[in-house]
Amino acid sequence: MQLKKADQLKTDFLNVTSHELRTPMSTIKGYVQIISKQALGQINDEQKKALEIILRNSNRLDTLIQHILDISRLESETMKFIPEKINIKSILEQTVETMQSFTDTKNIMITINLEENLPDLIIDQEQIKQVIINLLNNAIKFSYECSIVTISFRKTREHVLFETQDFGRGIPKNKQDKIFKIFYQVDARKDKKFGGVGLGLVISRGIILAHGGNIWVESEPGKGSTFRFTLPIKPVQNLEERFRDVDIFKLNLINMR
Amino acid sequence: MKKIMIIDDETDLREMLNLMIHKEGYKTSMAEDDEDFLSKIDDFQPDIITLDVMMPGLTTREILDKLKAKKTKPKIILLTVVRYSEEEKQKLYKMGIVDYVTKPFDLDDLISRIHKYLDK
Repeated sequence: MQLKKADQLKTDFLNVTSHELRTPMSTIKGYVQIISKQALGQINDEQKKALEIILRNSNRLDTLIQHILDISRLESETMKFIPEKINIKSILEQTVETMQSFTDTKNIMITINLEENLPDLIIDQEQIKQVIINLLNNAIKFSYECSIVTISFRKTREHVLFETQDFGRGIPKNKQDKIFKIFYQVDARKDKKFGGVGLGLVISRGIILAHGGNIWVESEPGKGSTFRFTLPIKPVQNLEERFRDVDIFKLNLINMR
Repeated sequence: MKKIMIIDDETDLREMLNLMIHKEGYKTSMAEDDEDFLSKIDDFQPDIITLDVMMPGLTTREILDKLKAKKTKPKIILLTVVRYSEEEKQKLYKMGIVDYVTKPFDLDDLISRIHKYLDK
């Protein structure tokens, strides 16, 4: 009973924090949209460009806020999961669509290989979408301009296997397990220019492990990286409870495969 | 002209929503707390209310309970920061909420929802 109460307090605290951070973001983004639409009068190209930069940075801040809140939920074991029966194809279409502007700026082509007749899965749609966005975001971020990123979903015996492959700079062997650690960056100095603070993969790993799957990377420096995760076809029970067992600070204890 | 009431304790957000919804061709009214809301609702008779889920000292349920005693039966769109399970959604619908958007929401998305519930 005492424990439940403490959990409720943590959840309430994070919800209030979330509200306080997101309300001003909504106002900022709302006004940017209003001005961009020229609802307050005509704007010139330079002004338009400035607004795009404000919006892009607001979105960046937004992602960071979301990641920090997710990490806090991970740490305080209060992440909420809403499992539903989900069609994989639709989830992939939605995520690729949200990445469109990013792929356009680097001139990256995304190719999708989707096996026919993939089974529907009982998963938390928003969370899994977030994992796919994180992986895709990384793949695009570390790709060279004008290259290809491939995504595939296929069925194995008991799982559905998801894969993103890029042909970017790759990750050295001795750093491959570290990238799932909090705040870790392969090359802190160079990575700065790519944005991101090293939270996306930690959260992704927590979400996938809670779903009863696994996530890992295979990579060769200079040739690119392939990230894979699995989701069991037979859904697991008690996602929230499983999530509590994910220890974000002790990655090495967990078998990556 | 269809009427929208914006209930939010956050002045800047409230005025931003008011500006946009007004530009979309609706008549608008704003309320910052329950007193304000109660004093305006009878006169204004909104078709839709956008309601912030987290107002200090005032739960969504309290607002909805107070609304029950009123003649006007507006459709309510909730502005929230959390996600709801199917079970929670059903509870919200039973309380008279027709829809919700999660902050930071996309303004166009909110507007298109308003259009939808007013068949515009």
